[in-house]
Amino acid sequence: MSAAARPRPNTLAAAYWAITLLTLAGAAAVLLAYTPTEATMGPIQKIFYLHLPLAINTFLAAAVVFAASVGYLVQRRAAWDDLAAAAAGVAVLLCSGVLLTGMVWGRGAWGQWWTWSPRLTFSLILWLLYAVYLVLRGSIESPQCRAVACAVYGVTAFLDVPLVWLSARLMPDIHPASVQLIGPMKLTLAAWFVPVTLAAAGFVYSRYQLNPARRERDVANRRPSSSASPTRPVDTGRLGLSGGVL
Amino acid sequence: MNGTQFTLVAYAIGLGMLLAYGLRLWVQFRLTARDARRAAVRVSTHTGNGRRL
Repeated sequence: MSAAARPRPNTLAAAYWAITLLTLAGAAAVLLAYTPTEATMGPIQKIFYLHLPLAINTFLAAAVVFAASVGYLVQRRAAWDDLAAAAAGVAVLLCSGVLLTGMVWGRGAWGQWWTWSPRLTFSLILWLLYAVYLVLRGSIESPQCRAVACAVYGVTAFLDVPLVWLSARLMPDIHPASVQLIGPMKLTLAAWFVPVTLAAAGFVYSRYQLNPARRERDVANRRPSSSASPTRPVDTGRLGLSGGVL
Repeated sequence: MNGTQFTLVAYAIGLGMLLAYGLRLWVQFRLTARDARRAAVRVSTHTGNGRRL
């Protein structure tokens, strides 16, 4: 494929986000027009179709932080640190969504915004752990020290994920450990997993591209002092920066 | 509030957060692209070319 015919990064990004929005619209249509109302809880049970995908993607983002942190500790490549930072930010975002949608659901179903049940407590701890990860990144000036400290912390913080997962199964908890869904409910859940997962993956990738350390490194690599072409411009398109598409 | 209203609030919060984060990233991309263009102009000027990129 010639260079002119090759799709530009911004075109691909625009297509990616268009598909994400389309799948979101489809999931909303399925939820409104197709999904039956649960007999016991009524319409408030429909929060589940957003709550669970947010929770699972929180775990996936935390797993990416863990894997990237291990990768950094093994290889000491800055790209791993950039990826861990991007995923940690998205993990905080998604975990915030899990906690808030869960609180609204709890208020409607249990009559209270919050209760210190094992799963809720470990979920709050998970949010705090990754929020502290972001604070830690901002508090260490040296890039090498920051990367090592955050990698060690990122590996350690992941220990809370199995606790969240297992807490409702191993301990008495008001939060259900699992739910039984009929066919249309399973389809709705699958339909909501697609846009939430696409959005989470897109956020991690976009944030990874935006990471200042990566950007500075890439720009430095293109500086004329180390290049055969002294006036070669910085190719912001290859960094995915021009055009303003996520 | 009834169950439907709680559900609407939960979806508004969850999707609103995702949308807000996406918009924030988009703004950051725009600002970063602007900064990169300006830095490229400075590099070019510094090397004597002076050509606007």
